[in-house]
Amino acid sequence: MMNKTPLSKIVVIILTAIAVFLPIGLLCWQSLLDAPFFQADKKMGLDAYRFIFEDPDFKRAFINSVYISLGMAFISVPLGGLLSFLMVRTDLPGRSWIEPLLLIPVFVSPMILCFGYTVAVGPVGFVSIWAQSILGNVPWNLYSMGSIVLIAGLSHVPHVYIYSSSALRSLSSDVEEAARVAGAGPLKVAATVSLPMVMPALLYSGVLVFFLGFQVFGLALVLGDPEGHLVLATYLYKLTNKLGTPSYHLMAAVAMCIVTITVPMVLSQRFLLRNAHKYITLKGKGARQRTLPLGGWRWVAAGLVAAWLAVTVVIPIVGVGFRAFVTNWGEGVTFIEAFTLDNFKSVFEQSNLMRGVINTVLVGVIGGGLSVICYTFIGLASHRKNNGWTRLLDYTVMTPRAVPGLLAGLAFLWVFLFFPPLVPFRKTLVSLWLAYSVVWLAYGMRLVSTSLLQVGPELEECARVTGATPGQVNRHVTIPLIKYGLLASWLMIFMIFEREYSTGVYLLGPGTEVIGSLMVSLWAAGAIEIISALSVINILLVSVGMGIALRFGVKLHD
Amino acid sequence: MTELTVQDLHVTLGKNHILKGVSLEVKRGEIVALLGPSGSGKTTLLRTIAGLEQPSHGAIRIGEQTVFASANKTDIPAEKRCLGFVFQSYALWPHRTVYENVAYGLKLRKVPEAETRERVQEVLRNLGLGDLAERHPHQLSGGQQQRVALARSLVYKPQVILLDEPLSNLDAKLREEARIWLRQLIIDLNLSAVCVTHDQAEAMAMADQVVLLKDGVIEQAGTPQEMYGAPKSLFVAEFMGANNTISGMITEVDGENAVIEGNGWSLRGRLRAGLKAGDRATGVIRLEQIKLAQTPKENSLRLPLSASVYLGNTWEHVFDLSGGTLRGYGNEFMHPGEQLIDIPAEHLWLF
Repeated sequence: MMNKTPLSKIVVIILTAIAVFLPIGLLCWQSLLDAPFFQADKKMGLDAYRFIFEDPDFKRAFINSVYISLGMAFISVPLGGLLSFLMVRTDLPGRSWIEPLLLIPVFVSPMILCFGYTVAVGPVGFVSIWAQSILGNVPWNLYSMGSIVLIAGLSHVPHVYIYSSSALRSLSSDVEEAARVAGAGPLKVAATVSLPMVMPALLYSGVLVFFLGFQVFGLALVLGDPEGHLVLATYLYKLTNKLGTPSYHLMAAVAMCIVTITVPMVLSQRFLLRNAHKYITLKGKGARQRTLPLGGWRWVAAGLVAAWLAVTVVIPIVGVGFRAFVTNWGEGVTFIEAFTLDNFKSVFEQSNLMRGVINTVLVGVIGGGLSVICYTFIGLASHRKNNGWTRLLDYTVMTPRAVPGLLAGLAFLWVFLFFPPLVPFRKTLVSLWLAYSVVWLAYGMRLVSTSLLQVGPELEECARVTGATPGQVNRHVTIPLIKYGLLASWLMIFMIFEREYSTGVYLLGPGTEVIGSLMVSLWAAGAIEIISALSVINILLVSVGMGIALRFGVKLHD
Repeated sequence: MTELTVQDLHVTLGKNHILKGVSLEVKRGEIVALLGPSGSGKTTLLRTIAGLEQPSHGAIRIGEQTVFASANKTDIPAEKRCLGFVFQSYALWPHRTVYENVAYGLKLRKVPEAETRERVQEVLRNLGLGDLAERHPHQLSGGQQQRVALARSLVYKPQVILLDEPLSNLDAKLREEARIWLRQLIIDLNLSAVCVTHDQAEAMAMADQVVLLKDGVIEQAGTPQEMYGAPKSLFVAEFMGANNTISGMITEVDGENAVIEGNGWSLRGRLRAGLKAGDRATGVIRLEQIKLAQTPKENSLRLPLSASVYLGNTWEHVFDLSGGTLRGYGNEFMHPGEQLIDIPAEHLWLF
């Protein structure tokens, strides 16, 4: 195709770059000032960095973040790899219905899960009380650093599973059979053929989990609070409380520290991704797979998966669901006498909470749809082109992955406060939608471009030769062909937007409430009952999305 | 009248210099086959003519209109070149019916609804697709899909039609019928056609002119008879037919005749390259030119027969010749043993 990039596509690319880099640039600039950037008496300098580097809390938060990242990588990569092997390559019982359950931690906010843990296995949780009645004491401490790392690790197993299972799936079993025929036993095959072939995917997901570790917020907020364990994101969030005044320059400096760690890792992922598929050259016809019979190990493996599901999914979800229907909970209280629907009633009676529920649905359904439309425009701008503009777009799209939602929300707050054309939208859902769309840009673009790449190039070229302009090709051929892919992307974006909680924290205000950010602010107020009820509503919304996805065969991951 | 002119075309894709100065002309009503091994640039040339690849140098004219010229930076986009293009995969739009596929070119040209209906119906009828208009592409056989692709590229009456391996997705029997039918159709419509193929038999059967490409340059161009009967290089000779090649040394040159000698044999042949006595040379002779002889002649060899293979319509005999083999056709089975064969000097080309 022609190499010239038309003006309309350049405009799309530049707008995308502005939407991504303006907020980050603002963070960067703010971190180099000694006062909020809108004050007249600000001066350039490194005061903000000097302050946080001298703060012992920052140091502790940093060390905790490193612990969490390392622990997550060491727990989730082996377990995720094992889980994907069991799910894809063996005759593990119940694989088809385990699959959607596995992905719950990806689609349910960690706030909710952790919240469920405090209710179920916290000091007075119902599991803890039950354990105490048998053992005489509670043999675990949910709020210790070890528990936090363990839960973070277990809840990121699905992230590893997504990548390694897709690598395993695209690996044809004939390469293993060839090794068998050549004289290698099953263990030898696994060690010398299968494992090395999915190694790049495991490495890729290891890096992913590691930098997600630096972005952990909700988990540390809920579980770290009682014993004062801070991580970088919660340190940033609590700076305001600590100093009593909003100290934007300090927050920006912490934000820049997080981004400095995550950006190189996101960039290295780009390189790793190129390698992740280096062994998967032949797809399609050759990829018929045989499952490995586990024999007697079948039930051991099933038990292992069930145990993981129980700890990571069942306990927290049941916990939060349970708490939503009782007035109070503690030793000696029974479910029947404490049962109530008042928690839900108060959600429906308080206008800001009710608005939050409605806004969550609006942002997911309408905002998600608009986002997919934007992602489609961006995808079409770089479709089948490779030049300076598309490379710029590549990096633009990747960058938001490095920025935790909390920071992105903060940066967008500043943009909406001080960028004149956007000021009128500050107190509307537009601000939230834009922040969400940018935070999930990389994810959304992957969904859309997967669909775009499935369109055979000759179908578009043929339309050109027949007499269609590039715009007509998009409208008449490309978009109609990816219609179903776009609908599926909309569903996925809906679920992700329902789950999102941290991006909205700083944008929260009358008119921009969503369930996720309301839960963060209610947590500070200790409104356990309301949070539980909101959590149940949120889980229901995500379930609706999942139900539609399962009903229509939308793949939840690739 | 010349319908399509390509002048000194250079195309670079990424770091690869694909076409290195290709020129050709296609006259009204003429079919040109672009032939060559994979990677020779034949498909790139076709796509460049269509405007799907951008040349770095050269000029392309369609009819009276210059659609590309590096000299004055003319570059008409693909959609304004008014060409027909049949893709190897047919590229039928799966979300549209046969009728909608074919009518699309007319819709883009804002042809009134009634006329569109009439013209689409006519072209479908002409191609034997009259009752398939409401089907979707996946409901058609390979042969039907190929004709829909053709109908789609013909309906807006382009002067030039480009075909990229149009028959390669058909099975062998259908392919042989289709190439005759396709040639007749193009002649009947008085179109100019450029057709890419890697099959020399298909090229010769379909085309008035064959252009053989090698590594981005034209190795030889001419009528099928010239290409087959008078190849200018060893590459062309080897590409165009089923051949025996023998290597030896030139011992005698007399005008355009020469003698080539190998280990225990000596043959007369025609020089097709500037060779002189003492040069190493390759002799090429088509399989069908090897004759079984009864009495020794000037260019006969007595060779041991190592195998006879039955091909249905003929027998193929394999003879040993000083370490290599010589193959030829015969009408009946022969027992192993010495056989006398005749190698006509005018058909033994020396390169």
